[in-house]
Amino acid sequence: MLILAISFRGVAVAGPVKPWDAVLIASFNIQVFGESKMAKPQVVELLARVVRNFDIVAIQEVRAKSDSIVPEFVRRVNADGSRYHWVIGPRQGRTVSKEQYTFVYDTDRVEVDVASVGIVPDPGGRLHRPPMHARFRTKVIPQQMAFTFWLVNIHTDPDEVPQELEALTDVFVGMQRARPDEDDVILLGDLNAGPPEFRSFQRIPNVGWAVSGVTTNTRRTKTYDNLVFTRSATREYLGAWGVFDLQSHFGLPLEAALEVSDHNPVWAAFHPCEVPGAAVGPAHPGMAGGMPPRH
Amino acid sequence: MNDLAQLVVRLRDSDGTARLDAAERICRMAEDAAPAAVDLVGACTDADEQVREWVVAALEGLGAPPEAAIPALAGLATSENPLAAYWAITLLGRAGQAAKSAVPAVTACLQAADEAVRKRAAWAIEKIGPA
Repeated sequence: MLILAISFRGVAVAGPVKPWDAVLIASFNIQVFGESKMAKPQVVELLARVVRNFDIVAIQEVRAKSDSIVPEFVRRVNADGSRYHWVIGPRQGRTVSKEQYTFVYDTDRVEVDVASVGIVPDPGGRLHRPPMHARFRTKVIPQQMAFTFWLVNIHTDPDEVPQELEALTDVFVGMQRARPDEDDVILLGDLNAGPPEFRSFQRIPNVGWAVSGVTTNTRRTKTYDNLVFTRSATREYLGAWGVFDLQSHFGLPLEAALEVSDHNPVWAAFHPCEVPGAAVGPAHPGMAGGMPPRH
Repeated sequence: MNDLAQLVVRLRDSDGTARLDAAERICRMAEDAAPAAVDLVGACTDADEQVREWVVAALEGLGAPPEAAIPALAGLATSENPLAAYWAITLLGRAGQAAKSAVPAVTACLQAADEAVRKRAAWAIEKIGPA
């Protein structure tokens, strides 16, 4: 991780300087991301600063009747000259309270296959909000060498976690088989569960996850958010991950951090070049060695 | 009045901005908002969509309701408002065996017109266990 750490010491330009040798993928549950949150400029500014640290942010909990929330947010992210864009899913949920998933991504660093964007079919109704999938490719190296991968964005129902994790295991296996030319599947989001509850994921050969042994909610009491992938296929994983602690990073008291969200973003770093799947790494699924967030 | 009690009063304010602020603040209290469980379920009928979303977020995060709230939640389980019914049933399910007295009300919800309410009722009955 030394190379990455050095790469991060860039000269400040528009937004954080990102490493050339890593793609940084994050998950962020932005609690009730709707009109009322967008009406708080100081909160939106902090959210924008969070996003600029990463190449892709899988966001959960867009909750608004308006379709302008995410476009307006991305406009604020790009106010510093950044060039982010987004793809967004439909409103989902069993009650009138609906949520949308979105991926916000840096178009200078990654691209999305727009034909790959969709919602995982859930004919049995096992998931309150079936996950959103999209296939990305890194742009920082020649196309033929670029790391391509599925991202599967999920927010589980907190009252039916075991059932939903079981369903997500099937989703993961299904995504592995979705395309013969794609072996990399990264399931990320607010799982409302931590590694001790990931028993069903063990049905996935060589499964691993980035976040382990730390809390991910803003109150620092729960491990709810993670990135799940297989160590045998996603050898692009660099072993670097972290929790972007809103309180410590922005120097906020708890109450102010909670105005941003009740979750901290979590992230992991991957090599931008495709690495053919082969040998399996260490037995411990969650690998230590986080890099400090930058801005 | 303590902070939560004051916020619950503001949750019924005629001014939508005041209600929205109250809902957000209650939501940020997480489990400490459990004593307001009944009031939050009642606020699921709020006319303002953003108030409702924050109320739902508060309900998601407050955990199990206090036992004293069980009778009122049982009454709300059969509310004509599907969102209020859904969350009353959810809280009863979270209460587990403490909500045994609410089993008849929850069982009646198995016949509800709203599919989400019916599914949640089945889930809650399993959580509560036999009456």
